[in-house]
Amino acid sequence: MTLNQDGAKFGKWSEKTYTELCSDHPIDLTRFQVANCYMGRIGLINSGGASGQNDFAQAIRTAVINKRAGGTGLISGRKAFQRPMEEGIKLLNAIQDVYICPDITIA
Amino acid sequence: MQELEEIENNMNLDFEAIKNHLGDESDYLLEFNEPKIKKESLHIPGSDFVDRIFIDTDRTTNVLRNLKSIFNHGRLSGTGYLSILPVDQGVEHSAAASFTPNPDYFDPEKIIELAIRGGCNAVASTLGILGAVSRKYAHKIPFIVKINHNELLTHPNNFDQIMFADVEQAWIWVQQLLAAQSILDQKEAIDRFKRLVRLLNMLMNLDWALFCGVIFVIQLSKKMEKTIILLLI
Repeated sequence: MTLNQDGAKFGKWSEKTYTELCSDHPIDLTRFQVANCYMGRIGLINSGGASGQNDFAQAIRTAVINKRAGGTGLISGRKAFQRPMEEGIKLLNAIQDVYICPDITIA
Repeated sequence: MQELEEIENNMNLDFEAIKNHLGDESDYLLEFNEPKIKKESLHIPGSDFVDRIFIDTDRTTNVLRNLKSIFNHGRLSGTGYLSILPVDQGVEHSAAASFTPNPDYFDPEKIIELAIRGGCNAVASTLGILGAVSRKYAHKIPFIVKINHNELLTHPNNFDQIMFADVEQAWIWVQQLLAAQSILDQKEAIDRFKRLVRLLNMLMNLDWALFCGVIFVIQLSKKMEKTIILLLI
């Protein structure tokens, strides 16, 4: 449900939020969240989400978006513990590798 | 604290491997360099984050120490980044439903083991899970206690947030950060907000590190679509 559409009003908003402060790109949207965290003074941590078919790819994708947006890291629960421990360790390490990799820069 | 070069040598996935995992989106995500809000406006993560950013705040020395200990633990130690293992499903989503894929995690020690072997900065869980093994592990990996949860005991489910732990109880047993999560519905939003603010004042008086603030999950529709809003303290 999207607020402030079709005549419904909620809170305060500005058209420029959607045109000047962010775009549809996930890194822009996440950076908008970082800006709302006192411009990064309070770190933004994203969630890894539920487990499913493509956990490794999804977790890495989320980590790349969070890092490039200027975020501080990820929590990852179900993707890590709803599988054998050795796989869970690999998944956590894969997320961490995104943050360690110097070629993945802040946009 | 490891040097970054040493950490890089321990990487399992290099840049090419990460690009492979991103597949078709690789260029879309990695080549994006025209953000609407410029990087120069931000306070970005880094190994000096506590000394650069938190030194100016109203947080106490204990809080700074706790934050530092979280940042300086695990595979991401010294990078300024955080990888945390959160497991509140034993309470919030029903343990049996959540641990069926791997029932080993009914045992709190296995949760801690995953966090440690997985190289996490910290483990976040319920007072019960952390308290069951705290003397053995609280000094080995930073503990984060989640003190309130969505309770599923009432029927029909009303997605109310209630306290499952006492702040002082958590202070004695386990420490570092307290995580609080709240679902606000339209009718009771104000009351819950006030209660949560009182709780947070109590936490500040106890020198707790409240790093990320509180996450509010707002129920926007009957279909439980949610928006997450970070309340910053």
